[in-house]
Amino acid sequence: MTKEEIINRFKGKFGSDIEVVENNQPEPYLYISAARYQELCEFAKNDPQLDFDFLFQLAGVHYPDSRFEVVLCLSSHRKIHKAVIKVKLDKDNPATVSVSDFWATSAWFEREAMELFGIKFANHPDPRPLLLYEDWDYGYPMRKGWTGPDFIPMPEK
Amino acid sequence: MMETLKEHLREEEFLINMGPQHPSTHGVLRLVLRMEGEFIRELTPHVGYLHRSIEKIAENRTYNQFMPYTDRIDYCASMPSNLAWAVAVEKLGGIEVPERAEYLRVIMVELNRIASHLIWLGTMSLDLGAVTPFLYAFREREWVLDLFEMTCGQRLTYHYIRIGGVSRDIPPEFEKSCREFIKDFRHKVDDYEAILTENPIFLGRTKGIGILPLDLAENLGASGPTIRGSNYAWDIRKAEPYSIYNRINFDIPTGKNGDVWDRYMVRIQEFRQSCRIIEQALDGLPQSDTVRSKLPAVLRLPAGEVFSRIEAPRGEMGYYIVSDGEKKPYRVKIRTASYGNLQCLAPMAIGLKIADLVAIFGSIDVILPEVDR
Amino acid sequence: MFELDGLLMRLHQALSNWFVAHGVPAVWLDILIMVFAALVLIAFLALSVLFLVWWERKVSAHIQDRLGPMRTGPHGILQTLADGIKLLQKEDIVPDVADKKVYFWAPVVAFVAAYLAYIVIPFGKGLVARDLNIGVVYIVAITSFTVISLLMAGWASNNKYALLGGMRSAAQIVSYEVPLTISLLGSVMLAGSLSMVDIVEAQGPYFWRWYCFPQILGLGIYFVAATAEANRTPFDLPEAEQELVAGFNVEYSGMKFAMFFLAEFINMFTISAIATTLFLGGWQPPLPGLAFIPSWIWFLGKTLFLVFVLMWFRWTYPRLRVDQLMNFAWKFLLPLSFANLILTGIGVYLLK
Repeated sequence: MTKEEIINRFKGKFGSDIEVVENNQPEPYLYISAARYQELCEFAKNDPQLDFDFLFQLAGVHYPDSRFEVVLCLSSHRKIHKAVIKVKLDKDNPATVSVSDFWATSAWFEREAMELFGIKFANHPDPRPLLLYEDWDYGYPMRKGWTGPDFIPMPEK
Repeated sequence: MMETLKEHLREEEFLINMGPQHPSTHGVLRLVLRMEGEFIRELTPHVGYLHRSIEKIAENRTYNQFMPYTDRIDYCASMPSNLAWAVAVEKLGGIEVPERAEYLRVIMVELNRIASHLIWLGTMSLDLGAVTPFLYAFREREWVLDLFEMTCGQRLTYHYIRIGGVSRDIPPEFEKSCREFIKDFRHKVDDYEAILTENPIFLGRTKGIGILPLDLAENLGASGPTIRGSNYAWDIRKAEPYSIYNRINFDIPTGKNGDVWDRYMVRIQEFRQSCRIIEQALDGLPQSDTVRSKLPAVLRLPAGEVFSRIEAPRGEMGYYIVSDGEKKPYRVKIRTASYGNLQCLAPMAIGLKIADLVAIFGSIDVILPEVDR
Repeated sequence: MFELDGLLMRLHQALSNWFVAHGVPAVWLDILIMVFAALVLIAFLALSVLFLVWWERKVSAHIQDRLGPMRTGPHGILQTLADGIKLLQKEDIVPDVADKKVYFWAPVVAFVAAYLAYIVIPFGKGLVARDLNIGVVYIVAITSFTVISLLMAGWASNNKYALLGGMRSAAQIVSYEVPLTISLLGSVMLAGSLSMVDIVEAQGPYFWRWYCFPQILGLGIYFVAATAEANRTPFDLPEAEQELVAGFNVEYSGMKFAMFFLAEFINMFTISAIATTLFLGGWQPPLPGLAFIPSWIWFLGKTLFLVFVLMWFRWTYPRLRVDQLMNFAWKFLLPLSFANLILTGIGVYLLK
């Protein structure tokens, strides 16, 4: 399906909860409201025309002034199309739902986002830290403006 | 009768820790196995021993400065790692790459695919007890590394593919040496097959072991030879062609059952397909002087985001870059092949023995620096 | 000068006059000859291990397309000596919680068991330390001794991995002993005697009388079972480094480790020597015309060829999993060896 068709299909189901990001990339970049995030993921996975069966990655992004974002890069093995779904989360208390029911691979991506950004994923099957060691208590390193005990910022040139 | 016997025999489960050091260059991975006798009941991988916070570093480096870091994400396949970053940045910035550079990129990436699969072949057969293919694989690898040294001076982390092209042109003796290598290498692959493929001991250790069903593979994020072994011809070079792959003829080898032997055969066939690709690329190499497009010294990309991926030797490697119009990226998310492939290890190994676990782990070809970044 | 045939007999005859002349009882002469034979055997074993370890490294190197030891002596001949000196001066670490007595005696038992088998092997015409008339039974009994040393080593290390490794090795050896013994019986039936010397002499002056031709199945079964007995690849899972641990000898270091290592190489030579004796005609030359080459050279040549085949196996094949190994012994080799025995029995009966 082309970029337009994918956008229209999502808009058909979710209407105004979808916000399209205008760019000249060949894939659609869509914002979904946090409330309908899980519903959209289920739709993306199970809808026979969209058929997004492969979660390529799930990333957390931190915009300190406004929000956290969770970005999903989806692709379809049969239909050979891609899409990027983004969801905005509260900047002080980022929390959303885990999508590991739909794509089991998201388990590790969400664990990483949890420990590096502090985003909470409800219903996660295994919420242990993935990359950081067990006694880590120096905060959430990937947040903008994080400083840790040995952290020396790069000198500005 | 067996049931009542089991009730009366007191069987205990015990925990075994494998790693973080391994005898076979898999990297620093810790596997905690809950065993019942010889059988594995539960497998938990613990990663993060090699976490170097490359994504955080990326937010403090310019796009060109970050390129050497990509070498180290997967040092066994350094050229494709460079290429993944270059493709992502060029996609976001709309940067054109000269044609000669595209052909050179393909040649280098495919040579590196051969080199990476040679490491895989050596270490996997070493794990299974056949020591000799390890030495043979590294003998071939020396030739590939000599080719790379001829080109860019490095043997492991090349930093050859740059944003906008490649760093320098190949020397005149490269083409002849490369063609000789390809001709010789085809015979060598037959040699490897003669030792391993039909050997009954090898078959006994790999056939029917570690079967990965296709739907489980897709769900768990497997890519590359891991998913191709489960009878699905998915290759980014064919599905979403980047660089000049749409002009090159090659096949995608698949396996039928998704067991260890199928994944082994897929990679052996990939040796031959890579040889085909390199020959076609050498034949079609255009004569030109430019191997890199003219870009400003400090590159600024327009604000926006990009998601791109390539086919690295282990699977799909890709980037999600958020740019805010400055000279340094705002956020870089690296997704590597072994991240998804390693998640497949647990379902494949449950119910099998430790000796099988070693074979399965060798067949999915995980490199830990990729997982930890 | 190289004619060593009947060495012990000649020595005995040469010295008996002296003994009689000086009124010493004859039994002292026998004891002296026995001690002499034992010392010669130890010297021979030491030299052969020196050679075999170097040879294994060279064979493995050339199979792997490299050179192997080249610097210590011409073509690395002194490499084993260097390794031995290194092992001798290593610290002898004994784990605190190990069972000290058993821990000490395990390598000794391994070495002694390996060494005792040499008493009945005929190295040449008349060159046998003791010609027991139950030679084959003696050999089979002695080679079972190694199981004890493995279990002792695994147990005494007080380490669950060593114990696992030791038990696996013991299970493997015990399982493979059965087809090994039965496959030897074919040659025994053909020769009509259990004595090693008789079996060699029964394999006629011509190479087509060697038992490897009527007993080709027996030779095959014996060789495979013996490879498993000696814990060599493809049957060396219990001591594989790529698996969890190095097996039963994980807690041993220094000279004790060297003893196990020595025992493995001596075992390799033993099984090749037994195969040579029972199947390849022992010290007999292939044709009578070639008898000018001393018999012990024929014996050594055939044995070293079989040792080379063992090394060839090791560096070519991957290894079998433990359950596959056991399956192979009990479900495949054992019925095959029974079949061989029955066929040989029928053949001997019909041809007599």
